[in-house]
Amino acid sequence: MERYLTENKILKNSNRKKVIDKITFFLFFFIASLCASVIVITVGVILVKGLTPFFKTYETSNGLVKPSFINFLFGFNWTSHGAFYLLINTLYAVILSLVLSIPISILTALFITRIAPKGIKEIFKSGIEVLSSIPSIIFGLFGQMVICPMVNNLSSLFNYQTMGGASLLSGIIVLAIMSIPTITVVSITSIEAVDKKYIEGSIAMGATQSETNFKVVLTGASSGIVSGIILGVGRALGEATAISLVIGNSLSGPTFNLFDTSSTLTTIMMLGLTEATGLEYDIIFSLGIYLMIIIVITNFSLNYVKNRIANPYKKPLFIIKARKNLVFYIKTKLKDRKNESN
Amino acid sequence: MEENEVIFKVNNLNLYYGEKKALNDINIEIYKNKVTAFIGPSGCGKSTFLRCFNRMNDLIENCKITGEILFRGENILKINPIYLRTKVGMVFQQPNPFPMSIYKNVVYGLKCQGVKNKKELVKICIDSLEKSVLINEVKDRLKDSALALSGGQQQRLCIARCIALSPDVILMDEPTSALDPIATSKIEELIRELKKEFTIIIVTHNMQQATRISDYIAFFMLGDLVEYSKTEEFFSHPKDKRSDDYINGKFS
Amino acid sequence: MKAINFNFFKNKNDFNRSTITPIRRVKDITRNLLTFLFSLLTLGLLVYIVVYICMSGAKYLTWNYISSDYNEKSYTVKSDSSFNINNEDLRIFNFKDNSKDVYKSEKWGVSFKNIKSNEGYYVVSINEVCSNSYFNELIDFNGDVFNSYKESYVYYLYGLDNEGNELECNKKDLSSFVTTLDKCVSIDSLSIRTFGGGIKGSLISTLYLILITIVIALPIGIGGAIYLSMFSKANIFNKILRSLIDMTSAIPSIIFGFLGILIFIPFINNVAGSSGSSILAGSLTLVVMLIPTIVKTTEESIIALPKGYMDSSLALGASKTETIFKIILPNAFPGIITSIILSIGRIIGESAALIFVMGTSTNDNVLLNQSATTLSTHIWMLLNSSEVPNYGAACAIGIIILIIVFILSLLAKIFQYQYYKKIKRV
Repeated sequence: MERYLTENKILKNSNRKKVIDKITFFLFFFIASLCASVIVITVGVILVKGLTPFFKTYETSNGLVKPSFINFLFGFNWTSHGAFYLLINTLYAVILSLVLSIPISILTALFITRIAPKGIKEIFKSGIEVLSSIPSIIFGLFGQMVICPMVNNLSSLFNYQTMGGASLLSGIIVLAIMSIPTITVVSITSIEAVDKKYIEGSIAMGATQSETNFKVVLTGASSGIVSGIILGVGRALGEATAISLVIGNSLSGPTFNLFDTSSTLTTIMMLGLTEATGLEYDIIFSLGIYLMIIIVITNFSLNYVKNRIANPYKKPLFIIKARKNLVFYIKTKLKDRKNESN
Repeated sequence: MEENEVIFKVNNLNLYYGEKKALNDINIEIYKNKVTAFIGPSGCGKSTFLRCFNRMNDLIENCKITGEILFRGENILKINPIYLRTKVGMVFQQPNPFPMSIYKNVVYGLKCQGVKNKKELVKICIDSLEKSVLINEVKDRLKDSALALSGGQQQRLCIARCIALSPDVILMDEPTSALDPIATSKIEELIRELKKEFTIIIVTHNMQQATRISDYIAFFMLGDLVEYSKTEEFFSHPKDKRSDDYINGKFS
Repeated sequence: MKAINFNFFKNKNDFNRSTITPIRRVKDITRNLLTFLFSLLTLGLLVYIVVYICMSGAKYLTWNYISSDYNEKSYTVKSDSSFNINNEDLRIFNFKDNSKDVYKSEKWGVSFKNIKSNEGYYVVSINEVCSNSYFNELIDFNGDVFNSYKESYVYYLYGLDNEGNELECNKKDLSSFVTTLDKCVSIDSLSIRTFGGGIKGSLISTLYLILITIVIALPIGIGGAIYLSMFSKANIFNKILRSLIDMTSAIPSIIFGFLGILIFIPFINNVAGSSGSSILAGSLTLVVMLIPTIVKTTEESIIALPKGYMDSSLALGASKTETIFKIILPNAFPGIITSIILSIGRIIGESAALIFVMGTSTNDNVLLNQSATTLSTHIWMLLNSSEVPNYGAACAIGIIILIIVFILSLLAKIFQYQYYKKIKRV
């Protein structure tokens, strides 16, 4: 075969391609950096905007107001911009909703993956997967139409008057319903990933199917389940529209009575941004900082829990270091003392 | 050996994967228009060494090379890898044609070199399919998907798309290990045919295959080049005890 | 001592005979029952939500509702001052619609019908206006002849009878409405309104939003995925890059709403000359939210490709760029489609961020640099616009959202399934 491609041509092509490759690399590198910089910009902008109200004086109907950062962090009344009660309310609502949703989701996942016969399994699984894509506004709508009246009826049994059912309990139920599909879908994946040999081993040792399911399968899938819970918590903490439709938006707190109206960080944000101006408007961004801090803290702590579950025998690095340092310190001290006594 | 033209010359080559040393001080000369077979137990570094010749190891992270490989007297580290790879083709262990038509598979390399003349492309395509003894099986269905071919046909297609670029050297990394005996024998026959035009370096774990097709044998063990000699010599009078043990199946 | 020994033996024998004691059996059954009940509860609850929304919204979900404007238009017309119907000018009217619930005014050549409006109460709609009807001779305030009675209803109607008395047509009872109208010889003032409350504007702006967002987000997301899967070496910088992109998906959408208010709205105001919230700002905000999703899905589908594709393409002397555009991207295409489908689902469902960035006022003439509502924020607006919200209308939008979202998630599943099946075959 005569060479259609001359050496020279290939060499020229190759050199050109090398340059193009360099350009492509930088292009994609730039795009990837753009993707990554989004979060940096978001956090930066909200930090700056959220902290400025505390360095400014506002003219309001009550005269000049200078919001105090300490009061913002630890105050209990939103009319004077204390946001601590919102934090407590948020965590209270999210934790209670998790108490409802976690057992339900895990047992559902267990049933779908381990107990249900094949046909039912497929139906349930795809059902849950499809239903997990229901947007939050639908849950809010359903909450206002069905759950609020239900809670209202329930409260009248206890001789308690609610604001038409808009209450902490309704909020908790809506949050729970919303996070159930998320946690279930992730739990299903992690239960399916449990190694078959553990299950067979357990059954071979005479455990019944359900004992295996509860003691071996759930333990094996626990770290995956925790990551499902992380997603669920993330969704519950950041949820704004659905919960603000049902929780009643009170301006002071904290609220622990399930039938009282309450408010969370996000509901106050929704209120503030659609209605307020001036200081009321600016301080909403400070709540954004609060929300991000909480999300970071919960994510980190839950991830820590997850890692501890995944490798229970691995000591966290900083503890080992601290102990080594301590041992070293004591040894040197003892040596010093010996030398001194000598 | 003196009468042969040297195409690759390797001087004191060391290769590290991170901290681990995978190849240890290798010196070898590869001769033009010969089939050189790399044999040895698995994990001895023969595939790694093969991938040095067209710098595929560049793609692996933490892979560090010292020493030099001369291709036609030029250090390959100084050659543009894209150019090098058109001159030194490679056939992989798994037949991996692209999910497009047979014709497009064969002319892929040429198209990447900017050959646009349709007539020329078809001519080269048919030429290389002829050389890889595939033409009779696929001549009516050049536009069909390459994935519809059998494993052996796919591997010969991979060889065809390699020789369409008319390289100087073809590297083969256990090209028959995923194939059945009939397909294997066809490929072996093809290799014997191809060496008239190309230099072939083949990695194989099958000693019979090495005997059947190769002119030279390089025996590797644990990253060392133990022995390098003509095939008949290697099997009749192995110089090293380890080669002897390997031939006699004392370890594998 | 003896007794204890005896008991011990008995228990051991029991144990040998049957490993499953009654207590264990009861526990077993309880556990299984519990899991079954809980899963039934979960699925039942979720299905109940869907069914409930569908039941409550079905009545409202009419073509009229989908295709009409949100803001109603009103016109007031009257007869010419010299106009009155005298008995000499007897016209014969041919009504096309002769159904039972249609009330015809044979004198004026108009027929009326009770129709439920998009807000949920009954109105007197103008069913048919004959071509030679006297209604076609009414004039508006500018003195121009008015004849666009389509898709509208009567807000009020005052006529004058033979003696010049003003008669008000009663809207509550259609038959008396028509008899009163038949007594009149001219019309003093007739107020007509088009049906409002429709979601045409929201639908169109949702479509615009999806289109613009995907067009911007897709190249960025795919680019990021290509970098992460093809170029990034395992160094600390790329690790940070990757975890930053991962972290973006943990940020709640309301925070991105803040970002939109602080950056994108001012930006669009400067560039597109809009004031305040706009569809463009909304789509930029959504782009930011969707990038991690698109990057993740695309990267997964690239990684799932056989490694041999890239190796053999490079071994044939193709450059990395050629490999990406000729081999990797065409074969990862189904993964990219999946990411588009998932993104569309999120755009349709998103509400919190969009309420801030796109506003809550529905626009019928959708303009990219003006505020608008998507289907989701339309629901939010309906629920917040009055003390007693129109739940039926909200549920009707809910049905549309649910249908779209379900179809999309099924499509995504099918695409993913096909894709991995294809790759496995190779």
